[in-house]
Formats: sequence, C-alpha cells, structure tokens
Amino acid sequence: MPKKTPKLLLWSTALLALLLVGVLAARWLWPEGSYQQLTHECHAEGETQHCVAFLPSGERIELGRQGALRSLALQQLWLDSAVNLTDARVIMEGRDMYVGRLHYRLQPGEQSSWQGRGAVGNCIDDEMPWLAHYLFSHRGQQYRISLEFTIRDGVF
Amino acid sequence: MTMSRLLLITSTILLALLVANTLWIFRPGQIAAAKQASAAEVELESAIGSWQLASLEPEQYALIFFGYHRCPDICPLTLAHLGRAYQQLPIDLQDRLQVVMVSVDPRLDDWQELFAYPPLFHPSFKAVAGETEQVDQLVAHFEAFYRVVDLPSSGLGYAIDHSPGLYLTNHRAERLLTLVSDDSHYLLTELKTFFGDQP
Repeated sequence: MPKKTPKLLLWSTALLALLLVGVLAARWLWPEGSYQQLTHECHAEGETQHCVAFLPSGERIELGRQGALRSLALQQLWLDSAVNLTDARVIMEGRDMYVGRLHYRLQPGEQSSWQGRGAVGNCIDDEMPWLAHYLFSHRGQQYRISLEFTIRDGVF
Repeated sequence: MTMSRLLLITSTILLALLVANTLWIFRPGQIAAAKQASAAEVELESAIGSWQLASLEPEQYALIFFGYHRCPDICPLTLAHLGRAYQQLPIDLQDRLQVVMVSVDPRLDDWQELFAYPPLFHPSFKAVAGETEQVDQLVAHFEAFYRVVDLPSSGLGYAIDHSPGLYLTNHRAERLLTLVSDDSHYLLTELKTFFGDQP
C-alpha cells in the first residue's frame, strides 16, 4: 500500500488542477451564466410581438417587442410584471451564428414596468433570425427570457 | 521534501484556490475589470499619432464604431446619421464626445484615405487603425463582430460584414451605451439622455 498513496495524491492534484482551470475558463467565457431561463409563449400582431412568461413562484411576466422587421429599425422593448423586477436589460444576438452581442438598457417606468429601444442589423444576409434576451432579477435570482424574431430585408 | 508531501501541499493550495474562486477572489466582475483595463490600453494609429481609450480625459467619452473605408453602405449611412445628431448636440457635449471609427480592414484600407474619411461627416470625427490583433481585442471587448465575405461580383471582390453598433465608452473602456439605428433623432435623444445623467 505505501506506493498507492503518492499515486492517489497525484491523481487528486491533477483533478483539482483541472477543476480550477475549468471553473476559471467557464467564468471567463460565460460571465452571465447564472441566469435561469424561463419559457414563454408569444403571439404576433403585425409588427408587434406580445409574450407571457411565469416566474417559478407563479407570478406573470409580460414582455414584447414592436418594430419593423428590417435592419436598423428601432424596436420598442418592454417588460412588465405586478411584482418588483430589478436590473432589467436586453441583449440581442444572432440565433444561429455569432454576429456580436448588442446590449440595451431598459429604463424603469411606473410600478414594475421597464422600457427601452434597440435595433439589430448586419450587412450581408437578407434573412436572419435574432434572439432578444430579456434579463432581470427578482428576489435575488437572475432570470432570462429569450424572444426570437427574424429580420428580412437585405437593405444593404 | 518527499513526493507525497509535495503533492499534498499542491493539492491543498489548489483546493484553497477553488474555494477562493467560489467565494470572492475570481468573481466575474474582477475578470471583467481585467479585460476592460486591457481594452483601454489597446493602442491604435490616428491621423495625428497614436490613440487609445486610456488617453481620454476622465470627463471625456468616445463613441466607437467598427467599419472600413471602402464600406459601401452601413458605414456612410451610420456616419451620416451620427453626423446629423452630433451637430445638434450642445457644443460642451461635443467637446466631451469623440466619434471614432475603428477600421476592421486595416490591411487593405489605405490609412491616409481612411483617416480622411470620417471628417467628411463632421470635422471632429476620426478614424483609427492598427494591427489585426489589437483591433480584434477591441472588437471582442465590445462584443462586436466582423467577417470578410467574398463577393466576386462586387468591384472590391469582397465585403466586410460587421456590427452596426455605436459603443459609448470612456477612458476605462466601460461599455456605457450601445446605439444601433438609422434614425438620427433617436441617436440625439439617447446621447442627450445619457449626458443628462452625467455630472
């Protein structure tokens, strides 16, 4: 048994080193990895997309987007709930390919209502699906709701 | 020191680092701050010498835009709208805001032509260029994007697909505001609102 102790220690050390590297890499690559994704349902009316989601505790969240589905067109963004939501913002990114991430602030309005504006765009593709991630906190927990919309234009 | 003792000490240190990482030392904010500091130090060339965000005064801001001189559409469109918005800003706010176009085509852009391009939209607008690695560092920091696309049918034979964003930042390379629009009134409103909140 005396030779087994160094071997066990060697493997333990290697495992700890790997864990440390993994944790550091994950924090570097995904600094916003602690958001809990919420499912939602949407319906569209012309240029408007209304969506509803529910917190795990059952509270209703309403959110949406309104704007022409073309590059650079301003999208009105909103997030409403009867409960207190904090630190709300929106990040937009391509659904299928990385074309950067666009961060937009949402400003608090009356009660727990948040509003903002933002746009997307790229030069080459005529049609491109985007995701608008609505990020917010409630009672210390961070949540994310991801709306999908498709830009069709080729304006450039 | 025996091998066993050495491994035991190493394991203990690694375990302590893991715990520290979880508790405080390597918080995401700390890592983001390190990335931010290095983005502020990125040094590029402008018409009048070297340029970096860290050289801005504390009360100054930069509105960064990634583009290229021969860009046929999005760059002139963005610069034209921004030029209109910028002209309507009060003079004291214009003095605090540098509009900087960062070339994402530094190897093919003629730098002298590039430097002369943004001032066509406003005399204070400037262009900067540098090594690809330095430009990429800024692109990554602002989570922007570009890619070269072969377009055999075009005069250049290629185009660069790039983010349309305008990124408001400061001497610490903080990401303060992202603006994307073909609406100069919106750009003006957002900039005025931002500066209205600043001391």
